[in-house]
Amino acid sequence: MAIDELRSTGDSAAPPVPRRVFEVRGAEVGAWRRFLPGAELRAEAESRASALLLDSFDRRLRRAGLDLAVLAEEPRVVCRLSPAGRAASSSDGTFELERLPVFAWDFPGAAAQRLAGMLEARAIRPIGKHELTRARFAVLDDQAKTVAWVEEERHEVGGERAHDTSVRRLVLQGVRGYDEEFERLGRELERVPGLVAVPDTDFDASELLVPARRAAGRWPELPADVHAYAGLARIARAQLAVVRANAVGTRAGEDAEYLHDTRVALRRLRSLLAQLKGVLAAEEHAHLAGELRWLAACTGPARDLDTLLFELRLTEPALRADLEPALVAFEHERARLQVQLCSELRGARARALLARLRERFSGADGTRRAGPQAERPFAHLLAKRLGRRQRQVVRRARALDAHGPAAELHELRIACKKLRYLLECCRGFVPRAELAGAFAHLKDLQGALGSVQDAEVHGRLVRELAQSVSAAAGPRAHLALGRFLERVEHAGRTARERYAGLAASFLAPDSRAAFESIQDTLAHAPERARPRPR
Amino acid sequence: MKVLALHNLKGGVGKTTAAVHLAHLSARAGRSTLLWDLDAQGASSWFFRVRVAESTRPRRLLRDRVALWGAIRGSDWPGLDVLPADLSLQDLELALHDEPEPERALGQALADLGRHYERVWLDCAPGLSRLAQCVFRVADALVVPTIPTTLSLRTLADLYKHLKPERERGLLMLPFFSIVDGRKAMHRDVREFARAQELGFLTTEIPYSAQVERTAARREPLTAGAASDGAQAFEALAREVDARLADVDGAPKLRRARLLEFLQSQA
Repeated sequence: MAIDELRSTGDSAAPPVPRRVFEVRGAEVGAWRRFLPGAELRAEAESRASALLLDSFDRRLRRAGLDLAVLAEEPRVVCRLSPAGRAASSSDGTFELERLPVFAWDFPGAAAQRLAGMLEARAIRPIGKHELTRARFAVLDDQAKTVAWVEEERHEVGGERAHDTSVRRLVLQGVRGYDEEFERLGRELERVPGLVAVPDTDFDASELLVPARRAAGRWPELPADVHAYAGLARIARAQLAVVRANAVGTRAGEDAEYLHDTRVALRRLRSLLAQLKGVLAAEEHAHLAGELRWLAACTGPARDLDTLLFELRLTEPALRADLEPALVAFEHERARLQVQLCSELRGARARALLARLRERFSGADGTRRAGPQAERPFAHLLAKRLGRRQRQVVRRARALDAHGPAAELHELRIACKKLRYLLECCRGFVPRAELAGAFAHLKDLQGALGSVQDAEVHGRLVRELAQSVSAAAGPRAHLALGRFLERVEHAGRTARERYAGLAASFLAPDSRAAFESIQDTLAHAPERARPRPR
Repeated sequence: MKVLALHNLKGGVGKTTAAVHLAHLSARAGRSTLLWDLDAQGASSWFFRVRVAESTRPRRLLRDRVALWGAIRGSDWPGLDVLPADLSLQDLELALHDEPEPERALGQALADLGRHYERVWLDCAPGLSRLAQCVFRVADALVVPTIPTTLSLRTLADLYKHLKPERERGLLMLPFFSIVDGRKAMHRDVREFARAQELGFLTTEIPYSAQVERTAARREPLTAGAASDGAQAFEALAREVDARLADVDGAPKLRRARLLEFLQSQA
């Protein structure tokens, strides 16, 4: 007889075993014992457990509804995934790994895919530690039978990103069939001074950790009739805020995204300064442009290596295992670049540049060093510069096919980026829907050109850095690098083919019409902003 | 869910001792476990200090799920619950007589318990009661503690014969030697014969020992305390039962003819 086929169709589920949770506030965690004089208690051995809590710096896993903890590090690393805030009662999987995971792909198969969807390229880092000390007491009846459990819990949560916090809880756990005893004990515990009944939830250590916010920056609101200097100043202040918000993470080298966001903000600022010539006085413009170029050059090598490491780690496990000695050598080089980067970022030159930028674009400084275009409506200036840049991109794209020289394709990519930054400035003046078409064409083209350039840079870097992979690493590592290089070159060729198709699309009449329409809207933006006479 | 019954036609063979230890080990391994005491002596209930509530009417356990869940008591061990019994269990026997399909009624009750429990151990009374017949039809395996004597082997051979239809439908027979006293010649001979003829006995044997006997007085499984020979024997038994459950097709068969030959040779 197959029992599983005999289930009742009605409600025949097991009734839950009752549980109550109290927080201990302003009293000793064991004070409750003095308030149950009639109860016979049997103490069990105290237990301790600790968990290292992991997430990306911007808490991507948590925001996606997952907690990740390392329960043991020896002899193998044991990681557990659980629904956010339910680590004690629920699990989404336990994994044994060779070492602490650093990226999503350090997990096996499906888990790696799931986590990669949440983390993308972000590193997994320790964000805190949770230590639990638990003392368990059986409450006995006259037959020495356990009729309930009382657990004293001491939770210590601390770490790099945590306020050191200590939470003491008392958990009254029922035993099936002894509900009356449970109710009676619950009433008695309610009367104990310092015990506060709280909702029965798992202790959520991750919630106590200070979330690191990723500051990619908000695009500032620009009034349609804003003047060029004021518009540029607002955008510049937003970029400087991003640089400041990412400064600690960039210097600490916690995650490649900090440096990436810093570089994007600085590049955007540099590009707009260059394209909006005449808004600042010529001398000021020349100085700031030169210094921003220097800062970009300081941060470039580290970023290039970050993207290469990202690609290397993305390789399938078999190749990655062979690449391990190369990865170690490359990571060593990345650490050396980080020291150099920190030294430059902490240095007087970088600090002076950032201070000068802040001063230049602060509200207090006004237009002291403004140029001849400063008072012009920002929208008009943008319309003019947008048209010029778009024509430049069209000209270059026409002249370059899939087999064009890498340097010229890179120049085209930079022109595309500049055009994109100008388009971003149009957000206050042109409806979002109108901008969307132009953005889409440009983004795809820029993406293909980015892949061409990545292949160039990665190929060059691998050839340069291969020297640093010691002979002791063996022929497997060098052969693996060769295989990786073949892939890089293949990716470069594929990207070039993709570029050819996307360039044709960008040069098509509808794309050009989208830009012309934007220019037209920009030209009339300030008039539309003025109140109409009655 | 798996339903495993501890049964032997004979009494005093170590069914309850094995049941409480195997149930404890099953819970200790992290499986939600129920031990259903189906012996009116209520020995396993007593072992776990669990009493039948005055309000419990065993007759209702088959049809009334609220009554069924209400009769279950948590033990002192995490993950292990007990459905206790006492002399009132005869009420359940009577209820089975009234059922048109008694094994179906018991099977349905077990199926509903299976929503919560991963493993249910049935501690059966000796003999061939109506309740035992129902157990044979619904259980996944029959764990049969057997004292290594010729009489015990004869009883086991009869049980195998009686259970032929159930065995054919897939009931797994898991006999093992219990209360083994290595000083006794008969114990030695019977075990040797069983090993040589591959009669399908589990290889683990539970020795006769004061330590095992004392567990009943202490009302605490050996497997809950420090490591001991007795605890290790039950742990090995539990592992072997799990392995057989996982590989039903690989289970050796009892060679009844050989067994009967052996009994004649001992006469």
